[in-house]
Amino acid sequence: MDPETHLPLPEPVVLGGGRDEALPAVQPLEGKPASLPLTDTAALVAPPALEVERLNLWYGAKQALFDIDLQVRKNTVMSLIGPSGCGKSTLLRSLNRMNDLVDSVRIEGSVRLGSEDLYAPGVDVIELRKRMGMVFQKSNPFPKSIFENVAYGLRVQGEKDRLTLEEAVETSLKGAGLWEEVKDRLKESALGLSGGQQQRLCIARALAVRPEVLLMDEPCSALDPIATARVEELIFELKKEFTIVIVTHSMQQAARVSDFTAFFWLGKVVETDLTEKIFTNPTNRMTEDYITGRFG
Amino acid sequence: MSSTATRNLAKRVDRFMAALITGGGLLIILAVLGILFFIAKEALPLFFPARTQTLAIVNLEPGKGLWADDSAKTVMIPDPAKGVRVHLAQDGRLLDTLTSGPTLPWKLSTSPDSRGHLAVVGADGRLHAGELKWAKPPGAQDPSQWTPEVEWTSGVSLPVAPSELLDVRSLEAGGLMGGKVLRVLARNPTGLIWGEAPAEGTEPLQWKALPAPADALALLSPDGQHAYIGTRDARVQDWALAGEASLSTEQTFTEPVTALGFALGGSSLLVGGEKGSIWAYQQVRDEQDTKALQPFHRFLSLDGPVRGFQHGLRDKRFLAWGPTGAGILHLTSERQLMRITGDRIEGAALSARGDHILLQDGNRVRPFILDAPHPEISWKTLWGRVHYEGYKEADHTWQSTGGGDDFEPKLSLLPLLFGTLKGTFYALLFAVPIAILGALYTSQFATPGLKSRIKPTIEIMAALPSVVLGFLAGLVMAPLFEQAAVHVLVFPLAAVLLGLAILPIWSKFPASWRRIWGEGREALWMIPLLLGALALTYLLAPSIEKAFMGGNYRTWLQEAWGVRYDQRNSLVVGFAMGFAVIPIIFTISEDALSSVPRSLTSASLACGASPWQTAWRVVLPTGSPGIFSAVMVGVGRAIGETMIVLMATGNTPILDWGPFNGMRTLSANIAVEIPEAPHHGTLYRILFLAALLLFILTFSLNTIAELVRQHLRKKYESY
Ligand SMILES: Nc1ncnc2c1ncn2[C@@H]1O[C@H](COP(=O)(O)OP(=O)(O)OP(=O)(O)O)[C@@H](O)[C@H]1O
Ligand SMILES: [Mg+2]
Repeated sequence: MDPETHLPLPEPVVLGGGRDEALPAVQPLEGKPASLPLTDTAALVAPPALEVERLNLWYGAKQALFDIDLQVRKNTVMSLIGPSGCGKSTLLRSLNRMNDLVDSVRIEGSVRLGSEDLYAPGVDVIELRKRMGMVFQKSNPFPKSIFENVAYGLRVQGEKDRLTLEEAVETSLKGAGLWEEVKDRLKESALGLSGGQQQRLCIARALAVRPEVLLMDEPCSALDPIATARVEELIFELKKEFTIVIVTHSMQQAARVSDFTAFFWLGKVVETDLTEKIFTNPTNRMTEDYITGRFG
Repeated sequence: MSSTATRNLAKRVDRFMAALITGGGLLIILAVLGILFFIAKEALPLFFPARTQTLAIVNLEPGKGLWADDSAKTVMIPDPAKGVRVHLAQDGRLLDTLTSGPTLPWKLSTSPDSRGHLAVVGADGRLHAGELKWAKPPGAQDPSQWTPEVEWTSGVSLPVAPSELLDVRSLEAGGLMGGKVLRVLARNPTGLIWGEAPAEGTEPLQWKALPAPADALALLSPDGQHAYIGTRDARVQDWALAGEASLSTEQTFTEPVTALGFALGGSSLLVGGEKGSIWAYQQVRDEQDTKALQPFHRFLSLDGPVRGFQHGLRDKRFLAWGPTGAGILHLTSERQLMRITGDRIEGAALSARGDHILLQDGNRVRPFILDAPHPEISWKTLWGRVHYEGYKEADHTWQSTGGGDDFEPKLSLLPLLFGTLKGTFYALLFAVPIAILGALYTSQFATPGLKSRIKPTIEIMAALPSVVLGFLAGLVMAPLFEQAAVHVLVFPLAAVLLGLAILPIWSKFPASWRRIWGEGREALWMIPLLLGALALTYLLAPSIEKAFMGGNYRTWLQEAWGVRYDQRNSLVVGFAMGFAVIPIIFTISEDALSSVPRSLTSASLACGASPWQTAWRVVLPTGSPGIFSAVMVGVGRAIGETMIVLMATGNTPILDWGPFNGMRTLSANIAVEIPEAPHHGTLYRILFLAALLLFILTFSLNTIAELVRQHLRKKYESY
């Protein structure tokens, strides 16, 4: 049995007329196909949480990103798709400035988190990263106990109060859907967990500092279908509280979990739109070819 | 076709190389095991029990004691009726009878000691001192080629013949023969008497009374100036014989005293009792500088009363015998080397080398051979406190050679092991923080360009021969340190203070500027910082010395702390040996820290941790087993290090943790003593034991380190 057919798809919601007015006065997406079933009506009108403007990035002499413009709306899921090497991870890492760690990197343009420009001079990168959780392709729990893994972000912020930590750990583990499985073994090493559990632990670790944005780089690529389903379920839950950017290679996953999709090709955003739109009626030929599996 | 041939060739080459590499590895393991085996083979005989051998009983008519030559092929028996009889030990055949000297038949005689010395009162009432000996042509092994001799003094006339001759000593020579004046201790029916007269017999001897119990045992000290008395009522007394005899000190014994004797050297008095107890006493001076007899060794008791003692001439072993048996004991180690039970034993002799024992009962002589090459070594003498002759109390002492024939080597390994650990401790104290923090910086903060230069530079340091380091430490650094000890101690403080002072200023610089000039290049900023600290030290140190140490740190140390400053001390060693171990600890730690998966550091940074927090909370704990293994390897290196400690310390085997004095390590000790150690002697084997110890120490440390490293490798395979 193919488990992918069994996945819980987000319930389609039909845009109701007149609801737009009740929401903040933000321009709905242009060219919104009113007749299409949408994942969430609020997504269309949410204020932007992250705005990328004319972002160019070079690794040494080689340019990896070209004039990227992208908006991620609050409490929505944006998925980044595209063939391997097109710069999805690079863009994701630029969002929380993890690219600073790469030596030869040079970046132009701006990324705004709320009202703050991340690349303005004098920005406290460490403060900034606290506002953005990141989940990596390969689960990477610290060789510490489950508890210490989740509490890590708070600890480095100087939180010492045991009760606060315990509370945060519990909330985050519940948020990541791992609480029931590990609540009796919080003191055990995180390396004893299964791959899927480890990945959810990493998500819990990212959630513990209550970030505004959650960046996920192919979080399910090393997981089996059942674990993948759990994480996808989780993403759907999490978007109530967080804004999520997810890189994925699975078209089905993008379709299932995201409200918006951006298609990358050779360091450029070819098309960005509502997920339903991209998957049913892409504007660009290339997008269509990629989605239908003709290349990539 | 050709591809099959290539494949076959490749397969064959593969197999050949595999065999070659396996063979090479096995050879190395074999070589190491071989070395271990050889070292152990040389060291372990120290702990072998003594071997004994019983020879066939010989029938010999008894006389006054008996004396065996070095090889115990012959026995001489002083016979009051016939003179000195010379027998072949093997079958008791009479070879000769020496009748020179005192007129026969002798009235009185002492038994010969292991030197063959005895005293005889002849029929004419004259006292002669004599020495039994053999004239052996070089290389002659067979007694038939030897000539027996007795050398007699010309005889002192005694106005009154005593009833028993107890002891005779020459006043100058510290023995019996060769002196000008003889002192005589004897007994007559009224009690003990003593006197002295010229050995050449020009004047008669005048008896003086010694007011001790009449039935007491008595013995003269080797210099003849004292008489030791053991009484039936269990007292041991020391009488000074000058003008009049006077009691200088007294000790009680456990039981009636039945035998007195000396161990080699004559400073340990052996006392045997009626129930078989055996103790050794020595003269000590107490706090009031008055003399006292100190019981300082106790031995396994005989089954019955002790009748006599005789010591060998090679070491501190002695024979204690009584009617029911005999034992060969070692004074210092208190070991019982041999035990013989017997019945009605009347006399006993120990050969000069202490390897042949003759027991006499009635007409029979029972010969034994004792093979105990290292009687002074026991587990206790190597590691425990040992009470040596001439020392006030038991202690851990290493002193392998000394002046004088009767010098006793003192071979406690503890001060050497202590020295090894002390040197290692000071080296690591200096090296571990620098190496590990350096590794942390290089692996986590330095720019790749800087890193690619730092690492090889430090690794080149490892190639520096330790002789050079030792030479520099001993001849350049030690005198420098001595001149500027305060500077040396102030400098690190100054550096830290200056660093702390500069940091807040540094943080005021614009971030972009800091980013370009600071991050990853902090190491370069250390150079002006250290130079500044040096200047600060030169400004501050003299005034610190003046203000807190009265202007001279050496007298201050001496007066305020009672510490003497040695030029070649632990700080110098720690510094020099630190240099030797820093590269190895640095390299292994750096590898361990660099191999902490990047995904972990990324995860930490993404959680909002600063690079420093990441290094401290994630990289360091994750790499800690590797660092542990690095330190272990460093410890192994420091333990085995020889040249540096040899040249940079005074090599004094002391038990003192102080930083201002030196040490002697196991390895340096081997280097120092090897020229002094005769092949297969005790010292030689002890040095091998030290080597074995070093081998085991370094081997187990390296094994632990390797196990930890392998465990680590397995643990992070999943990343
Ligand atoms: N640290 C780096 N240094 C130099 N070039 C890099 C570095 N990281 C990525 N690149 C290059 O930048 C381009 C984009 O890489 P990126 O990892 O963002 O691709 P991606 O879309 O995430 O691919 P994938 O789907 O395979 O993960 C690639 O050509 C890659 O070779
Ligand atoms: Mg990627």
